Order: sequence, then C-alpha cells, then structure tokens
Amino acid sequence: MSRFLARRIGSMVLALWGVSLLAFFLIRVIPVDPVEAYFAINQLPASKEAMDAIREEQGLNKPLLSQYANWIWHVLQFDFGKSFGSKSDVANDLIKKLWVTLRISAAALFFVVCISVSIGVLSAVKHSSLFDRLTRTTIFMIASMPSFWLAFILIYVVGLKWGILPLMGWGTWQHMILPSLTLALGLCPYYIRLIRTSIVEQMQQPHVLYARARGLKESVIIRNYLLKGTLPPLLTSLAMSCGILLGGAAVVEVVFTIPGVGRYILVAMEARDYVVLQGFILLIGFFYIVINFAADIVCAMIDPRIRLKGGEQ
Amino acid sequence: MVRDVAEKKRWMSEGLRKLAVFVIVSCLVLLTAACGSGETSEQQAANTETAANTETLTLSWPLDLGPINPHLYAPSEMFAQAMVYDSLVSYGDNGEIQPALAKEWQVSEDGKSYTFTLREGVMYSDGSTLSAENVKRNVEAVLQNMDRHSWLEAVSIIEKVEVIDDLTVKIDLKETYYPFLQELTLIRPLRMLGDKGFPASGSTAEEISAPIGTGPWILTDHVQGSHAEFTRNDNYWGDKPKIKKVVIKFIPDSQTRIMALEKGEIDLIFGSGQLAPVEYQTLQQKGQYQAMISGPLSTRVLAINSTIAPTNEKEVRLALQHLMDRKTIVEHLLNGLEEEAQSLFSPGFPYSDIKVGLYEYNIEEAKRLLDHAGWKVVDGKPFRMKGDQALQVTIPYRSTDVVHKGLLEYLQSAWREIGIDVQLQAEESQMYTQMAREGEFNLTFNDTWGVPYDPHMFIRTMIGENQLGYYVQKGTAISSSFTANVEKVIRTTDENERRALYESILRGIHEEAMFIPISYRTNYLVANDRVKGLQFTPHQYEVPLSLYELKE
Repeated sequence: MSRFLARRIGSMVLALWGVSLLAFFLIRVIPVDPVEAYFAINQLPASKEAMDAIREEQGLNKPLLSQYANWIWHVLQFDFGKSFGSKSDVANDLIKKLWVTLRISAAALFFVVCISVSIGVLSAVKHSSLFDRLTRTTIFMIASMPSFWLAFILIYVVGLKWGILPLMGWGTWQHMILPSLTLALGLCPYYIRLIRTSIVEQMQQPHVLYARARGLKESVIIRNYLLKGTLPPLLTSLAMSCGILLGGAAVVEVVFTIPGVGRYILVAMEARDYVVLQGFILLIGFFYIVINFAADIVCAMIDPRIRLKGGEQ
Repeated sequence: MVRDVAEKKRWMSEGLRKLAVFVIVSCLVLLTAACGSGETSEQQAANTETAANTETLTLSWPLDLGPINPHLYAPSEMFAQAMVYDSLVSYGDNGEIQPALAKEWQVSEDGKSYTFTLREGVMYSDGSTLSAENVKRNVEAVLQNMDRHSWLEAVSIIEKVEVIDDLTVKIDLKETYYPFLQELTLIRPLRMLGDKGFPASGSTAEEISAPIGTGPWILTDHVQGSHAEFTRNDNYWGDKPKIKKVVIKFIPDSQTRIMALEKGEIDLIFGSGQLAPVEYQTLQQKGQYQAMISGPLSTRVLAINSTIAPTNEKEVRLALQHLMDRKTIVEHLLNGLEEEAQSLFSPGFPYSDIKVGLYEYNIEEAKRLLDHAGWKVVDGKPFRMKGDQALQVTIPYRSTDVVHKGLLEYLQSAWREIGIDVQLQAEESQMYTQMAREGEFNLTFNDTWGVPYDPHMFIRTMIGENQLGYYVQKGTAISSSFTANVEKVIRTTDENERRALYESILRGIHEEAMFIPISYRTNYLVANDRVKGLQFTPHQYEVPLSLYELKE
C-alpha cells in the first residue's frame, strides 16, 4: 500500500507541475497583456512608453522562464501574488469565492440526487405509464433550455410572482435554493434517464425475477436490488459532474448576483489579470487532482486488486 | 459464482454507503451554509427591506465598486470615487470652472503657475481638516505613480507643488497648458484623500488604508461582490445630500436588475450602461415607473481610417458621409432615445458653437463621388469595382455591444445596395481595443468622451501614435498642419487665438471627412415612485445622488 501511495503522490505532483506550466504559458499566448487591458478598460489613451514602464515595474518584460520560476517559488510558499487591477491578495480572494461556488455546487448535487433518484425510480417502475411519458417530455424540454433561461424563469416565477424566495444576492440559505436548483435542473434530465434505463434493464435480470418469485415486497426489491445496481454508474457520473457544476456556476453567478469564483474569473479574464487567472487554474487543477487521488485511494482500499496492480506496475 | 455474488453485494452496499455519506455531507454543507450566514442574514434582511425604508435609496450597479482609491483607475468605479472625494475645482455648465475645495485661484501671466486658496474648515470623514499640506501630499502621491498617469497632461506637466500657508497651495507647471483647470475637475486621479487614508508606505499607487474623503457621502459598508452602503456626510461643505443612506447592489445581469426593480428590491436603475434602449422603452411603456433621458452627453461617432485602402481616398470617405441615414438610425435602432448629431461635439461643450457644417444624407451624391473615384458598378458583380478590387470596408466592433452590432448590421445591408461590401468583425473587448490601437479597421466606433474631456482631450489623442484617432488624420492631406495646430491649441493662453485654432482644427476634420457623427449619446434612468427630484448632471460618469429625495 505504501508503495502504491508513493506512486500516486508522485504522479500527483507531476500532474500539478504540468497544470502550473499550462496555466502560466497558455495565458500568455492570449493576445493583449494586462497592462494594455488595464488602459483599455479605463479607456485611457496611454502611450507605448507608459505601458512599457509599467511592464518593467511589474516584471512583465523579464524572460518568461524567470517569471515562471518566480511565480512557482512564491506559490510554494502559498503566496499567489496580488491582482494586477485591485491589488488584493489572490489566494485570499480565490479561496473566499471558491467557497461560495462550492457551496452552491454541493447544494446542486444534493438536489440532483434527490430529484433524479425519486423521479428516475418512479418512471422506471411505472415505465410506459402516463407518468413516465410525461417525465420524458418534461426532461427533454428542460434539457434543451440554456441555464440562464432556466434561471430567469425561476427568478420570475418563484422570486417575483410568488415572492417566496429572494430574486438574487447572497447571504442566507434561501439565497442558495434558486441558483443551485438552476444548476441541478440542468443535470437532472441526464441522471433521470440514466437511473431509469439502468433500473429497467435490471428488471429483466434473473436475480430480480427470483426475488419476485421468492415473494419479496416490491419496495424491498427496489431498495435492495434495483437501486443498488444503479449506484456504480451513478457515483461515477456524479464525480464527473463536479466539473460541470463548477464551470456552469459562472452563468448562474452572474444571473443571481452571487459573489462566487465564476464571476471573479470572468472579470479577471477581461482584464487579462495573469496573476488571478493562473492562480485560479492551478487551484482548480489541484482540486481535481486531489479528488481523483482521494477516489483512487478509496477504490484501492475497497478493492485490493487495484492496489496490487498499482504496486506491480 | 457465490463469491461473485458476495463481491457484488459488498460493492453495492459500499456504493449505498457512499451515497448515504454523500447525502449526509451535502446536508451538512447546506446546514453549515445556512448557519454560517447567520450573521449576514440580518444584514441581508436589512438590504431587502431597504426599498421600503424611507431614509434609504437602493440602486443597482453592474460591477463592484473596487477599492475606491482616488488616485487609481479600474476596478474603482468612477461614480463612487466622485461620491467620496472632491477636487480643487469643479466643472459647471458650459464648461465654466467653479470653486470646490479651492474657493478661489490665480493664474500667473505666463499661465504656468496656479495658486489655490482652500476653503476654510473643510472636514474629512474622519474629522481631520483639509490643509494645504494635505493637498500637496495628494498631488505628490499622484506624481509618484507617473507611469499610470502620463496619459493625462495635467499630471505630467506639473513641475512642483508648494505650500504657501495653511490654506494656500501653489502648483507650478513645466509648460503652459490651458485645460489644466478643466483636467483638475476629473474624477480621477487628482482628488483629495485624508491623511489617515494613506497607507503606512505613504504611496497610494498600490492601496489606500481607508476611503477618507471630503465628499457628500461616506462609505459605511462594503461587501465585495454583493453591495455597498454610503451614509450622508453631515459635515459636507457644500449642499448636503437629502437622503440619509444609499445602498448600491451589484447586479451584473440586466434582466435580474429589471426584476429587482419590479419586486421593489431596488428603487433606481441609472445609466445607459445598465439598460439597453429596448429595455428602457419596455419599462417606460409599463407606465409604473419614472423614466428619464438626459441631454446630450457625448457623441456617437464612426471614425474613418485614412491610412489604409479604400478609405485613404478622400472621395470614398466623403461618399460614406453622405450614406449615413441618421434619421432611420435614431428612430428605429436607437428607439428615439438619442438625438441626431449635427456636429462632432454636442452643443454646450467648450468651442462646440463653432459651426463647420454637416454632410447630408444623399445617396445620389455618394454614388457620384464613388463613380468619380473610379469605383464603378460592374455587371455581374455584387460590389463596385476598381480594376480587380471590390469596394470593401472592414468594421470591427466589441461583440458585447448590442447597440453597435444592430447599427452596423443595418449599415451593412443599406450600403450593400450602393455596392459597398461591409465586413463586420465582432471582437472580444480587449482584442477590439488592440485592433483599434493598431489601425486595423476602415471604420469603427470612436465615441467622444463627454465633459470635461471634450473637446481638447479627444482632439489631442489624434496626434498620439497608437491611438485610434491617429489613424483618422494621419493619411489625410492636412495631417502635418493639423498636428501642428493641435499642439499649438493646448499651449496658447490667448483666447482668440485658441478659438481660431479650434475652428481650423474642426474645419479640417470636416473637410477631410474624418469622422461620421451619428447621434448625441444620452444617459437614462428608471426609478419607482419613491424617488423624487430625479435629474442628470453634464457628467457622463457621475450619478447625482446628492440631489435626489425620497418621498415621506
């Protein structure tokens, strides 16, 4: 196990280094640098000399490799630098805003599980019924709606017409419901279909037939046989959805006026704020790699074959 | 087989356990979120209540206000800087310079030395008093960060600041510069920060320790990305605001803003940057809101590049001038919210009373000019040709600007009928700016800046390399005399000479067909019935909240 762990940690560090390289160099491939962007955003008619002077002051005219080494050296000390525009501490800002986005995403995952499991199971058990057909039509409709549109409908109906939840803003648990529901509804159609298909398939399996023959109650069959069988694909897909949720949050954050990381990055992107952007990519990369790592470890703990295989390689 | 089943069963129960853990963790996160925000919920409740509060005005703004550093630019928002900080002098009607923190001033004969007498007893929001020493400290802080301010002549031309006595300060310039006072009225960077607002390093180039100003409002709360609260400065030296508190909610999306207004979460949406013309009109037609349009603030202008083909030909530029159907554009594309432009600078601006004429919409004249220039209609070709070249103009624009997009698409179809191939290029904002700076366009929008920048600043950028305006005059026959005149006009102290020079500059711009003025840009606002005394000031970037009232 320790050999396996060492290997995994080694590859994790390598992957993070790769992410840092990509984060640093890819951003510099985009035309227009932060100095030019700064003057453009402020609509100031700066001369080339004035811009070069600021580039020098910010160290942007040094060789790329030395800039990279300098950045990495500071990152290792958990100093992500200061934003070019606002001068605020990037690590601090990112963590604060990522925490907001993570909370919405977690709430969205919770909604996804609750909604898709209940509707998915129901429409599988009652497949080809009116309920099943209605569900199918509705989820096709929802799946084809862009998230900002869905958000407007929710804001309009729930926030404005019914007035039971806040339209926008951030602060209380009520503020989390509409944005996370918007994110969740975008994913639900996929999960409802996944669960329904998987259960319908299993219903044809001999072990379900035998269970019925043994006279087990339908609720027991659903809980102990059908639902359990859908878990492996469901869990794998949920893990993959974390990325979609974090990415999709930007649109939702703009519409619902939430001070999350998505909105922060959109502003940084327009300002070409290198320090913020590379810090963000690195942090998200770190986040993914750690989750992957944790998943691998859990799998290895459950299944000795993975552990052994990892060790032998 | 039995082992397989056992294995499968174990995996399933493992899966079920994982799902349970996931659900529990999600619940915990939700719970933490709910509990964690307990302290802000009160604040938030206060916020949603604000619209009903008789002492608080709530409005939306698309962006966070930033650090509100008086000596820096974005992400500090200009209107917030103007709420907190004052300048030595202010910009009045028709460009008249009025006293502000300085109650009077003298200009030396050679126009190189300005002596300001400060108003007595002006207090900063922390209780300290404005002094000549403090003004000096502010000006020097700006001079220390010259790289960022060198675009502004009023800063780069300052030689030194001197304290004469406690309430008198003298600023010496390296050269004469007539718009110096005008540029002192700018919202940034020459406004005054209280001594306690300076960070320990003494330099405001990176940060300030607190936004301490002498302005009508004091920043009392600011939650990044959410909202800011300003309270009336009861010690304000000028006319005090009538409202006690102003809450600004940062709402980036225009549809959300409109729904927030409908729900009463905000009272006011101010500015054309927050509402598209069609959104303004929809709200106006509902009849439930007060909707208002300002007078002309700046001019919507298409700049023509005279350095690249085919717009380097004067006759092509003239033809394009005659092809601008302002009436249709204003009525149908700008929804009547703007006026047709009659000149490059809107009326009421300094020197804007100089009349140089305007090219009327005249398709026949345009065709004649194009024919004369050799761009002929050829059978079987969709566009006019000169040799094997088709008459093509490229117009880049910011992809996010829906008004410009609509307007250009209209021109594309209208000019196609005359035989001009209009290539539209939607660009990301920064890419667009780069293209404009490098002259990669035949035509593009180059709106004037409004007071106090117009006209001198707009004209002056036309002689600086790497500026959009530079490509407009560089290829014309009068480029060198034009450049000389612009250099002269900002240095002269003789009013008559200055007027004559402006006339020659504006006439040159007209005769060489450098810009196509389209309409005078306006600002607009929509507010609910709680707000009284709604009005605009000539400043495009200020929200005159001090003048508004709330109904009892």
